[in-house]
Amino acid sequence: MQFVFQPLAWGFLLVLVPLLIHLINLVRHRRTPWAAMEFLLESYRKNRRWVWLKQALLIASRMLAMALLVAMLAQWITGSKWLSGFGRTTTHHYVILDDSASMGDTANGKSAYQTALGSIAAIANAANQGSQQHLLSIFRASRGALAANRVVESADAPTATEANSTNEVRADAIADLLARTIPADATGLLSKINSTTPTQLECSFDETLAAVAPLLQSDQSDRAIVYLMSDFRTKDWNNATILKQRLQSLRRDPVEIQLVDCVENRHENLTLAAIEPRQEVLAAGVPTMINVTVVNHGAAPVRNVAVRVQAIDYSRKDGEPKPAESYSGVVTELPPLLLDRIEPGESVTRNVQVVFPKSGSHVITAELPPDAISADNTGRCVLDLVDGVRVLLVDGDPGGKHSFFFESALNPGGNARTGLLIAREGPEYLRDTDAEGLDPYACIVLQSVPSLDPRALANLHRYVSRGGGLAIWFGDNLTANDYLRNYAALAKPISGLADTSPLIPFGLMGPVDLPKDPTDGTPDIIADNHPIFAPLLGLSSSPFQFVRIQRYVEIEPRDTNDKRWKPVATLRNKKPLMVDYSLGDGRVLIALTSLDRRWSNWPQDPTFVVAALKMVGYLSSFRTTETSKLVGSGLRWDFSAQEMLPETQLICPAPTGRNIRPALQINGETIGENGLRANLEIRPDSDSEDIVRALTTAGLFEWWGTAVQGDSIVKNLARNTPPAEGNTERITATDLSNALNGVKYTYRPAGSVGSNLALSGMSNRNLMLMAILLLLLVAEQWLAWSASYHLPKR
Amino acid sequence: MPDSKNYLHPEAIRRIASMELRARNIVEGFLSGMHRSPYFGQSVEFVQHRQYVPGDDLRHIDWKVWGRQDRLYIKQYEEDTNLRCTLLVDGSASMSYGRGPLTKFDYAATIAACIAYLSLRQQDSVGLTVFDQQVRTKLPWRSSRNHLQAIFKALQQATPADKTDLTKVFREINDTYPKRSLMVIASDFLGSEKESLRGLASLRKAGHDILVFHILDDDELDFPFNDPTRFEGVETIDHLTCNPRALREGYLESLQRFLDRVRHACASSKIDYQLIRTSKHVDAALTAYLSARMAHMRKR
Repeated sequence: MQFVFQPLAWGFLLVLVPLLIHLINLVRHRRTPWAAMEFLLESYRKNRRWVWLKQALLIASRMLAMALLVAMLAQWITGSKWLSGFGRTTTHHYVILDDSASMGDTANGKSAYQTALGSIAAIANAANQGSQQHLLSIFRASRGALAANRVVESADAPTATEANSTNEVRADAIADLLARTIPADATGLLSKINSTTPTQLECSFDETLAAVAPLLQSDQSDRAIVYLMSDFRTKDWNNATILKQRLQSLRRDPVEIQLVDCVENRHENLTLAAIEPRQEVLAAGVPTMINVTVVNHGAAPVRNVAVRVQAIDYSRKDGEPKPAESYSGVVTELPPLLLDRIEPGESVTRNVQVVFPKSGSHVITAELPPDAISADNTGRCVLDLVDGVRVLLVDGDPGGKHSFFFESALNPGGNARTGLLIAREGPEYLRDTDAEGLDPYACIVLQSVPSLDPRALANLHRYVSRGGGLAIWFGDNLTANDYLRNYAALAKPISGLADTSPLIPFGLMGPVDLPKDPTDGTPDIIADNHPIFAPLLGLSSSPFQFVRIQRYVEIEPRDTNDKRWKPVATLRNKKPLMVDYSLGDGRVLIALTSLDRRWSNWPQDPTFVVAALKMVGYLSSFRTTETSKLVGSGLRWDFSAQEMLPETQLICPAPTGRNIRPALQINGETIGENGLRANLEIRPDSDSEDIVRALTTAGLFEWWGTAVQGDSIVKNLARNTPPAEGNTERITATDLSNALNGVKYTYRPAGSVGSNLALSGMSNRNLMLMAILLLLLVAEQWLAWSASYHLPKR
Repeated sequence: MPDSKNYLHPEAIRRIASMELRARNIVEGFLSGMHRSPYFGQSVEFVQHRQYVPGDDLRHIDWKVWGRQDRLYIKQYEEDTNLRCTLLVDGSASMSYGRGPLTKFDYAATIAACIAYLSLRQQDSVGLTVFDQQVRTKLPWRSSRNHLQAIFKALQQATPADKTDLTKVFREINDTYPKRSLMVIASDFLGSEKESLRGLASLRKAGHDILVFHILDDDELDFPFNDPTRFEGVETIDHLTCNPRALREGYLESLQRFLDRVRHACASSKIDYQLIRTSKHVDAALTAYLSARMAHMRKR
């Protein structure tokens, strides 16, 4: 049973009062000596059953009267059609509010989100004008999406019980209002939702509808109306298969679905779609190219767009958190990017070159001029620069003749800085070090290392599995038998590890001469679309025109169709020359040739320098963190307990209209032996509004910690608005009808919401209850009279 | 001048502790209200003279003999009294009930005292028996004024107790008072109904004229209880916890049937029957008594 004033339902305990009074009266009787017992007992014997029956009926009628009185006061809500025919009907309004970033679409000083809030107020006002009972539930789509993400994350819970307990998003956990009666003055009721602003998430109604569906099924009200208040963008509604299924699954009768359009027209909007470094190797003193991509989501071309670019330097050792300022770091205004013209639907990418002389955390921000949707106008990325990226060259030749080409390519010397720190070691280094000893290296290049100790193999395997990058170049001057004997260990499963996958996932046939047949002009190397060769592709002619491959190592034919690896470059004869192999979290890049001049002249070709640098960047990219993520991604910082104190402070972006940035105190939790993890997440037991706001807001998050020596340490995390949210293209009514084919709905502009609320039903359920109560009281009086509880007048 | 009837009200009677004063007040008040001489029907049938002895009533001295012979002689008549009156007062436990000024026993004792006073004042001889399931106090017929004190004392000392067994008691009374007399019985007859009526009939067959005062309390006649009550039998171990209002109608019906049976039994045996409420004036009882006495005298 549901009641409008649910706490008053405790009043049902009052039904016990008549029974208690009856029992107390029986206990509190007085004693009277009586002579004429004979006649009294005769009367008792004669009337006993009838008297008992009347008393039972009397008590029951009084209890029922009490129950009716409480039901009347608590405003009983029932789904019974029979009762609804007699009494006042109850309408439950379920408002599901799209609070994605696109709802910030503003025109004439009023955003789509504010229009939606106005529609909710209109519903409340219309409800107050009638005599019907109205209940209001409000959900924000972002809450459902966030809760669903948490459920998905917790599905990996260690125990089945824990996973089951969080397997569903509960409507009451995400509701801003749940089944609240609309008072005469709804201002207070709506104050909380009116104080909210659109998030900068990209979210759909799917998760929230899934949470609301069970609520609708158990709803006892006579009528249910589901309002989906949105801006109806094409990207959200054109292929809304899941949404359609959710709407069709609302198995409650009657339920009305009203699609409320909160935007009148499509507005011009530019979106800063991406801001990211172009290269993988980021080091202090090395020029870094930052790509900035802007998309025109409007219907008309735009001209002369100036993109403001700022660099924020957090490398100072004496830096400290400054919540009152926009950034705690030192802000440097860079020359703006000027975009001449962007056609509708087109994107333009420009790059900015920045050089940070000192290692540490740096941030680049780019900002577009104000337009309809402000959330997508700013983007930022975090560059955690190091003094140099360490690369380990392991050369099978004690003289290091094979490393020469790589050293020359990766560290040319002079004024040219690549940001790479080259170290050269012999094969025995891999054996003598431990797995952690290889971790400082961004990537390892093996050159002409024909045989490796099992311990060295295990160390390399662990290194790659944990995200390291390994390049294998074969050696020269080896016979087929040597290959089969020496390199066989690399191609065999490695024992003693959980994952025994070999470092080379295929068998080797030995060196083979590439036939000389250049008649058709086909270059010896044919590069695939891979990051290593990305700068070399797209040219009018092959950059490998002058590269000659004389010998290569052939793969066993039975392994050529293995899906674990893919060729990065092939030879003229379609045989693989370079393959990319995923092992654990890292990658192994296997070059099936040697840099020796008897095998190839590629080291003398300029393309080798590009390929070598890109190869190092590619292989080192699997252990580097992303420079930015989309809003809604978790905020986490793992650090060592030996280096830092567990107490951290997260300074979040300032909310709209405020200058002070809120700070959250987060303590790191122990992970592993010496690890600590500071994690900002929504917990089932503490749904803090600050945490939700932080997880749904784009901007720069400064995470400050304290080193054990007392210095402040900062880790910056960039969260950007999903670019798709800037797409203002709206779905047409026809397309919407096609997308929701089979769903019965009403599509209406926000301004007309509430006007159709039927105000019929002047009869009142409470009046019905009162009539029943009066009848019951009359019956009770008659029963009391009949049971001689009233002395007749003499 | 105060209304003489006020002296007959139970509330006024209750204030007089002495049974003698109570009886005199009632009777004098009663008689003054009647405006008639109490000395009627006195026996005058002369039998013999006997010599005066101290203590004899001087009014009975034959002054003519004294004048002729200078000796004091007393005139003796066939009988000293007009009639014999036997007062039978129920002293069982049920008579102890009463929430008004007087319990049923108090009321019965007062009636008995008044009748004794009235009878002895008319030169009748009066006997008294107080009983419950057996005869507890028994005083023979006497017509002397001193006998009145004995009656008063017996009534004042009696305390209601035990059950009622009228059959046994009336059999014993038949043996105790063999001569025909006017029997005045004051009882609530709450006991074995059949045995009580059988006892009355046996007394009637023995030639006694019987006047029954059926004394019941207002509560017993009206059953005015409202609140939940535990009724505990005074002569039985029965008890009943109930809402009295729910049983009231049945109780009154049952009681009325009982009263009708008693009244009908008395009428069929030509027994004068008078239902007395303890809240009513006692003059009704005295009037009934005088009517019965006159009827008894006429038969003689």
